[in-house]
Amino acid sequence: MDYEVSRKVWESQVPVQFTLQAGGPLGDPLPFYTMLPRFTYLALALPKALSSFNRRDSGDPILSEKVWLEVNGSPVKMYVPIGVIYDQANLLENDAILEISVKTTQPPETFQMVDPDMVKAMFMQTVKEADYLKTKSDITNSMMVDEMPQLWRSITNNNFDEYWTMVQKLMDPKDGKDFTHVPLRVYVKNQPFKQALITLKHPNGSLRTIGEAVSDVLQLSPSSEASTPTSESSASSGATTSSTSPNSEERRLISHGIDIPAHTPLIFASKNLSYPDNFVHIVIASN
Amino acid sequence: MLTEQQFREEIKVFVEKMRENKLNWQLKENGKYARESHLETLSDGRNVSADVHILYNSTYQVPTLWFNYFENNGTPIPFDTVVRDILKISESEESDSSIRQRISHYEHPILGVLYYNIHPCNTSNVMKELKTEKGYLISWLSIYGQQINLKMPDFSKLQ
Repeated sequence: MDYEVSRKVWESQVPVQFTLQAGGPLGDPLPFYTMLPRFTYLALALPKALSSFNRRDSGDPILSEKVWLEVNGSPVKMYVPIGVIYDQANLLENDAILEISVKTTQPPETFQMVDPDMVKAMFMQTVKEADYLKTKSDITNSMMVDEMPQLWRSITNNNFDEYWTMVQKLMDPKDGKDFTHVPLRVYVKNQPFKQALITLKHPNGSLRTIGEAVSDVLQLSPSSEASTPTSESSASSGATTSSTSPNSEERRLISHGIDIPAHTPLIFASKNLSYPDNFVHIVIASN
Repeated sequence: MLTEQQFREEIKVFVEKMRENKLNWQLKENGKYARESHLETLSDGRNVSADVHILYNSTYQVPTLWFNYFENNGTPIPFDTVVRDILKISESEESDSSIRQRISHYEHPILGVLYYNIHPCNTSNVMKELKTEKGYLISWLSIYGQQINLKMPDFSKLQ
């Protein structure tokens, strides 16, 4: 792992605006502006925005378990790292603000409200899944009970030093063995994330690049198969037609707000560009 | 361990067997997963609908149970109600955090929305201990289905 790269990735932030349409006699409260680390989650950032809205004296306070969030007219996934949400919102060209509306209305049908405990449980499951892919769970099985919660705490406390201690254990196995598979999720517009078993190297021993890995995921992922989404399968996800993904020449691979060169070795991306959940998250954009 | 190809073949047979036993399973999305729905009754007497899916998990290379419960208006039932009224796990038996280590929300790989899943991390170890001559999925569901009180056929009579 590269300390400088990891630190830069950790310290990168995105501008976010929370607005609340509350109606009521006093009108809407002023928007809440903030810079949020890319690695954190909206479920964790929400209470601060709400306490800003609740500061004015206009009746009942707004509780975080009663609200849901919308970006560009669609419910936003509060359990996906904010950096991934930002990269998906197509704001990179002019460093625009991610505009989030806080909704107090009835959420769309089947929409699941998300609280910080749920995000923590999902985070833990994701880290374990990543370790299964990398080492068949060797590392997480040998960890002390309190080590995984420590990784989560480094996120909630924005503590890079604590994160660095933990993530080295997860990313640099003591036995020096290669990762079996690489945890990688690929995001294509309006579709669930895509994932598949991707090895570090080609059968001839040469290193797989991130560009090749993304092509493989797009081809192999179960959600990619020429599927005809039924009304049911698109329930509340806002998913519409299966948009064809751009071919590999026109394709841009975005992570942490930058274009990742397609020839980047997959192992470098995994060790240095993974989010704290130990997955590399690549958003596909076209030129 | 089950390959995706094996899963696709098994799930077809599985759904047929279930239907022969009057259990309402269906294949979805060209056989990518199987689905069943039924009603559950909460402790206050209200009925809620249960939606249960069997999907292949490519990471662990095992089948995984995905499920959720909805009110009539489509609102998902809160976690603590699900644990207490439907999964019937008492607080004395297990702490909230230990349940969440086995069962938690996760993004459904095909629907792209949050459903519960029983964590598949230990499934392949469990399956090593089981006889699977009646079919891998039948044996697997005899263990995992009962964790969510799923209605099962009489296994001794299954061919």
